[in-house]
Amino acid sequence: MTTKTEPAPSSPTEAAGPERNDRIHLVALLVAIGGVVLLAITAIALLNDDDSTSTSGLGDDAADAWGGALMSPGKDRPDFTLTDTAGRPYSFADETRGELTLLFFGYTNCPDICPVQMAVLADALDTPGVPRANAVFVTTDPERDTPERLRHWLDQFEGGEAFVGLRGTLDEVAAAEQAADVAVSTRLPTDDGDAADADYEVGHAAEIMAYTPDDKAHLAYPSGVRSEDWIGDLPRMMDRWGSGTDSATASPEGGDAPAVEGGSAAVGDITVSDAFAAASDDLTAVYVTIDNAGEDDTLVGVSSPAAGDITLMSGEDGAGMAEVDDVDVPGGGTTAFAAGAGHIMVTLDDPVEAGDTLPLELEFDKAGSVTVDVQILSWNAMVDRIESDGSNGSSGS
Amino acid sequence: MTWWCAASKEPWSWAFRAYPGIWLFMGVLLAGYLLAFRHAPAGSAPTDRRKRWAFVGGWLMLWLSTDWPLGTLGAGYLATAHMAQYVLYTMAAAPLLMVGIPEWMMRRTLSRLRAYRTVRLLAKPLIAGMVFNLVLLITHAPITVDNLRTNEAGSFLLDVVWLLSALLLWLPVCGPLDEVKPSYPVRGVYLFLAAGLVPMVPGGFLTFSDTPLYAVYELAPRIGGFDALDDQQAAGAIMKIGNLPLLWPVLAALFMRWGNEDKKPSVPTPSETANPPA
Repeated sequence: MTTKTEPAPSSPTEAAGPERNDRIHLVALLVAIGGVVLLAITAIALLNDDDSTSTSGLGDDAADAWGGALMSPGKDRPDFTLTDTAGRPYSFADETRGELTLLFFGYTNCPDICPVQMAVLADALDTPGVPRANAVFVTTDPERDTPERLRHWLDQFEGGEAFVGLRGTLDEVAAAEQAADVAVSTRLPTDDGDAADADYEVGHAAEIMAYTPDDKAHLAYPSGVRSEDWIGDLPRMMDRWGSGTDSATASPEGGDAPAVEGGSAAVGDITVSDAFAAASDDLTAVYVTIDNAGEDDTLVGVSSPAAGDITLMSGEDGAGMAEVDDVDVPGGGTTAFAAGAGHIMVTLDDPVEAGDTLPLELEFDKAGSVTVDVQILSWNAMVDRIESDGSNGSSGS
Repeated sequence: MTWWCAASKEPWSWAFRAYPGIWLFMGVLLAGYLLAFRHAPAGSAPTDRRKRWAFVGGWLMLWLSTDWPLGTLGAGYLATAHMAQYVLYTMAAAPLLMVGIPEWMMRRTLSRLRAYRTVRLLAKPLIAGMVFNLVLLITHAPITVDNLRTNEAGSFLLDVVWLLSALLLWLPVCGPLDEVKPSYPVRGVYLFLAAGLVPMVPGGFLTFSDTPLYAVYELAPRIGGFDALDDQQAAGAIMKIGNLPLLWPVLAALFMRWGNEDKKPSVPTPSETANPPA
């Protein structure tokens, strides 16, 4: 019934040969498969190692590798005014000064670069633990990009409702591009050479400029950058060029106390900065730095509309960390609630997640009260931050 | 001229794209199958018409999942399409092709390729399952996809490896060589583990990853505003459950056959007839 391709063995000795060969083949195959698996695991482990080092903050050997193109010296934050999608004038410099801001020139009919760049950026900004940033998109095709169309296009991205869309005349847009020191956009001829063809494309700069709180763009992100590049770079930008302010966040709720957006605030000669804590359901430790340029003062109380009990902790971790009623803030010095040396323990009313902010009012004996928005980080991001801040000054006492 | 589907930076459109390499491959496969019947060995049993239809069905599935538009989408635009391709290869095309190959054709092909012993060894369930899942893991690793899908040769290699590993998966289950088929329950357990359980692990990675894993799909021109992460999560879901429509019916059939086998009265062997038990 069947056509046998293997000749039947004519003796037991012959029969043993193929069986032994089979066993040898089997062993060889299993060894080969095992080797491949080992190689694959090693490769994956190495890749994972690369991933973890690329986001571990400064001071790391791999920290010099940025996802974007490093520019030295950095380019100044440009000063131009265009119109946002609500029809209001928007001064880029005034609206974004001192804040992490990502600026991109493109158009909604762009078939390839613009939607990919914006989607990748949106995915990254939507990732927990990534610092909040202003995302500003300037259309290089104001003729077709009406305010409604521009708004609708931006809204389709993850978290795109927060993106700022700007329009202007072609001359105004060109001036903005020149101010940002990127290539000036130009309308491209269509394949059939018909200048009146409504399907024209616009040549424009493909890179996203990243402006940090020092009002410089040190990095530009060309087409092809991935969200993992952004996720790795944005916290590092803040570490390197953050200048004490972390990001744009919502204004603090109520109160007369003066406040500065995003993890920093000042009252009198006292500046409270670099306020952060880990995401938590109920209890979190807040770390903060207090600079006092004036006379000696004392931190006498901390409160929050979003928290219950708040206690000041001071001393060494594991040996002598204790609750204190107040903390001296010496004039002309820095007092840091830093890991292992002190923190502000906050019992939360509601859980806080990475990307949230927690308003915290610090009351000083002489300078008065100040409200700071504590930046909530993921646990890993907080650990990275603590490691990078390891050389903080004196602790709370 | 593009011979095989590969990633492209061109925005997606429904305009037809021709891939002569795929047509050639599919033509050779079908022609080889049909011409082989002209040279069927004398005395071999006539091939069941259903077998031929099964092969043609598998061939159509293979073509559908390799050529435009699914092949184009899977090569460079959507991870979802990539995974749909893979599921069609492994859960539709391969089993149908296996069912459609007559025993004499398989033996003759393996004999000419001098591959019978190797295939018999590879078809042992443990090895076949390991090879299939190793291929699954390696060919879905981001480094593999990002490097192979971006060129025609790499994309062709990926498709061929998928097909071969899928054929190997089904050989002990519904292939034409009886000597490599284990018992029905073993086949059921093998299929459940190799094709049902293990793929859930990489599928889970895709589903629950916070960031897009494949550069080729993350940076591809967008289609209909489909977000890269959503696309990847959908792909993971397809990897995890896309095999179910075929897997569970096959498993059910295997266990039913096992049950029917047990119900059959055992036929005494000639030696038992000659020496009845006392």
